[in-house]
Amino acid sequence: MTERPARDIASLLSAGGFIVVGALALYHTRDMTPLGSVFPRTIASAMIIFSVIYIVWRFFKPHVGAEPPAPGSVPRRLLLVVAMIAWALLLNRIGFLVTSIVAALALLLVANWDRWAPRRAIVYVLSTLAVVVGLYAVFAFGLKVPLPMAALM
Amino acid sequence: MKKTTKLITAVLGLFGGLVAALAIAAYPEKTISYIIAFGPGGESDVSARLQEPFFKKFTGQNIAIQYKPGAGGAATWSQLNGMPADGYTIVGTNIPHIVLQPLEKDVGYETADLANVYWFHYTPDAIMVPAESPYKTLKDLVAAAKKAPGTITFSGSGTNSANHLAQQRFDKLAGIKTTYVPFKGTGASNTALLGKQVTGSWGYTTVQMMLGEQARCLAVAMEKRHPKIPDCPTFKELGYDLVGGAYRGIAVPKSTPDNVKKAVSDLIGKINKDPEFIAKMEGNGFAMVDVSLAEMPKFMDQMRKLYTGLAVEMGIKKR
Amino acid sequence: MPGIEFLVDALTPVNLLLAVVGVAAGTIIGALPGLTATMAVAVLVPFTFGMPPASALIVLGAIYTGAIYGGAYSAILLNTPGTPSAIATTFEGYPMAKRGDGDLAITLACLASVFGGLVGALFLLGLAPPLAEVALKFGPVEYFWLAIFGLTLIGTLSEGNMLKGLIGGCAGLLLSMIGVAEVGGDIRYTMDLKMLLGGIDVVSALIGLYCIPVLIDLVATPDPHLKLGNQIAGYRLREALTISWRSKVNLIRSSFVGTIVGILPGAGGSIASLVAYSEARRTAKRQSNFGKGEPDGVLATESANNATVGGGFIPTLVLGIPGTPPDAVILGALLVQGIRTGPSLFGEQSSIVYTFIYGLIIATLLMLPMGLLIGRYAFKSIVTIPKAVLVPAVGFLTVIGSYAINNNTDDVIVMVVLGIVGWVLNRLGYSPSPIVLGVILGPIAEAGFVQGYLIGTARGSVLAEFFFRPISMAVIGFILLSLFYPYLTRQWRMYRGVASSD
Repeated sequence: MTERPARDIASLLSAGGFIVVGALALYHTRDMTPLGSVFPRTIASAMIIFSVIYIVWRFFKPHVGAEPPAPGSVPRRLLLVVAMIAWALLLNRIGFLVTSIVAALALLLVANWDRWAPRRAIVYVLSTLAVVVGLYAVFAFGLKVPLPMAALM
Repeated sequence: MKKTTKLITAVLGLFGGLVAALAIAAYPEKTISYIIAFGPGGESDVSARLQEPFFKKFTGQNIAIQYKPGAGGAATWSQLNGMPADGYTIVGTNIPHIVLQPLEKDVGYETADLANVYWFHYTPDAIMVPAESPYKTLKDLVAAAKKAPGTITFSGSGTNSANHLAQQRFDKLAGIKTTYVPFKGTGASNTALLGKQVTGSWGYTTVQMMLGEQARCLAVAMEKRHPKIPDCPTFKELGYDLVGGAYRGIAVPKSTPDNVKKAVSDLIGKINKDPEFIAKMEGNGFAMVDVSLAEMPKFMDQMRKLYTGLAVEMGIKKR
Repeated sequence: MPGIEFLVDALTPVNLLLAVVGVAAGTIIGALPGLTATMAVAVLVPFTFGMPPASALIVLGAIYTGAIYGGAYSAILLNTPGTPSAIATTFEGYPMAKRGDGDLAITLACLASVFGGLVGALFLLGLAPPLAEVALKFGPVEYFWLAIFGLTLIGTLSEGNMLKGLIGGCAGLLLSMIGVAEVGGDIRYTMDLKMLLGGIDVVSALIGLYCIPVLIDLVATPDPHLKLGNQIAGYRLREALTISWRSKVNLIRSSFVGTIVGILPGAGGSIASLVAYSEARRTAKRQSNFGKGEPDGVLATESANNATVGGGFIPTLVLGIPGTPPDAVILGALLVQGIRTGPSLFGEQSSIVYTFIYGLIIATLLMLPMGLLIGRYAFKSIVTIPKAVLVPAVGFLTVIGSYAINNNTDDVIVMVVLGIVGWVLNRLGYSPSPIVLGVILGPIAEAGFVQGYLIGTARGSVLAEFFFRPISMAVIGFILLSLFYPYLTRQWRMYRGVASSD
């Protein structure tokens, strides 16, 4: 006997979510000029229509299986996300190079599953630093991109 | 002991003053960052590239051209006053953009916030039709527009831009009604013109120079005919008081010291008077203008009045 | 061959060196996610001012074509298009890499890029002026229908649920409307955030939606990123050549598509590769492999996008209207050099143009050995770098890449936010490609619609404007074809009594 996977509630909710997004988008078109509002209205309506069709279609096919939850470590994923957000927000405040070095090392910690033998640790840290500093140099000096330099570079 | 301290302080003070004076006298001593508020390839970029060798010629220093496009220039202009105020960061500015943008919406700066030090050229408005168009003169075009209001279409770059304003001003002066079709950039506007998707195009003299034989210029918004487009009459000659276009200039952060501002202004002015530079500029269709730091307040006042008035007429003034 | 006497000029040591350096630099820059071909060209323009015009054009063209090719590397190995023109390469390239055929995919990309680039350059050589006229026939309405075509492709190409693909496309379209409207001047959907006044940049969206989810999933497990093939023996060149020969119709057709799309100002590699991919899939005998790593897919997309290089130069040089974004930069560089584009360029100044075109052909040919070399090196390094170092390296690339677009840290924030949203959506079954394509096609569709409406009203009939122009009708035909073809063939097969199995 085959086991039925759990019903895919998440997709239904997401379709509902898109209906809300579409409705919001439509709502905001009231401040627009006639020409400027045509496209938003059409696309927002299309989004709502497609989402409704999806929900109705699911009504006729109630046993679409849900995706299994993402395998792997949730804490690590969260840490990566937090690190990236902090990275983006701190660039201007602490300076590009410093923020990037700190963030890259943080990412190294999050991404590393191997045991932290001393030699490996040194190699990893050095290579990460080399990549960050090297690419920074290429962009800052080779491509002459003006990278934000706050108090701490 | 006290006397020695005083002496040392005096000497240091004098030394410091000397260094400061020398620093200004020696401006510029290192590479200047020249920031363009648009992407590469446009008129602001080309102007900066043409100025580049002359910066080197007059100061021995290089300029580093950087692009910071976004929100039609507002991204850079709203961040201008946060940039280093030592004269080594200069930013390209454009009229009517810096006057119109704050009037329409909150873009993060007010016109008065920008410390302009020089306006070095303008690209005069020009009205063009494809080379094979049945309209040979502006008179033909106006007559056709009067006969069938709204059917004559003009392409142009952007909405509420210099091109759009020119079309509105002329419509009013000539008492006609034409339809303006905005395109994203001069390239797209030209494609529509050459492909005859539209009757004509509101552009600049630079565009006419680039299109060459493929487009016929019907009028230019200048006091006198452009030296490189001698066959194209001015609006004034034809009876319409239309002079203007998009002006380009340089601004520095507001907190830049006055003597540094003057040094930048003088440098741009010098470049602008070099005959070789003028030849290159005019060869591309630009029209020279010289508004230095000294004349700035009066000029900006004039521009503000003119464009605010137009903005009110066009209904785009919302603040 | 027109202007063959200038082939010699293209073969000078200086020009050859420029071609080699240009292709190599372009490939590397294009491979880095966040650096686009436009950026690559813009960076090198200042160095070209001291050069004679033909040499300047050769090095810029070489960089351009190298960058378009290089975008395939990260598309295949990291599921992140290195340039927007490599978006469609992720469809088949990444699955191939995941299954251990990454080296084959890279070699195929190289062969296809060279082939496509040559086709585009040959059209430029022989048929530039007449083809430029074709470009002009495309008006706003035609662009509108082309964008709609692209959008229907999104729907039909979605692996998984077509509805989710369409919804994703709508989401992308809405994202493209954030900011100041090009027509009308409205400020839309910025939620009063200054950061959004300039809208969402395509490259930010691209890096965020493709790359960040990959990073998020990379840290979650200890498995290595990509499997090594059984033999890292070599380039798998013979295998690749066999596949390419079998697929020659696909290659030729895709290169044609790429050239034509490149000729249209404002349409570039991303659209070309999408259309080529869709056609390859539609006409394939074995449809089932698509989406799981089908080599023909890579061949189609990479030949199409490199063909846009040559194609894009046609309106640029003949009309002075840039065919693709890098062409706008090159045009600016030419203006500064004092070169007037236009029909005269092919007339009196033909020495410059023909030397350049032959130089471009040579650079494209040189891309074969160099591309294979660089490709092998790239493949080896990505596959052997321990994941712990790969993640911070790629993370840094996304940050500096999205910053470097407009020298603005706001783009980095947008990139990260979109990345997180993209991961969530991906888990829910909405893949990134429809969204990114929506962001790219949105402005084209909207501009085309509003401009067409204005012109149609002025001419008296909006309906006639939209539906009765010859080219529009052809494009509408294609749209209907791609929408209904699968059903039609299935009906036909059932009618013929053949089991409709794939």
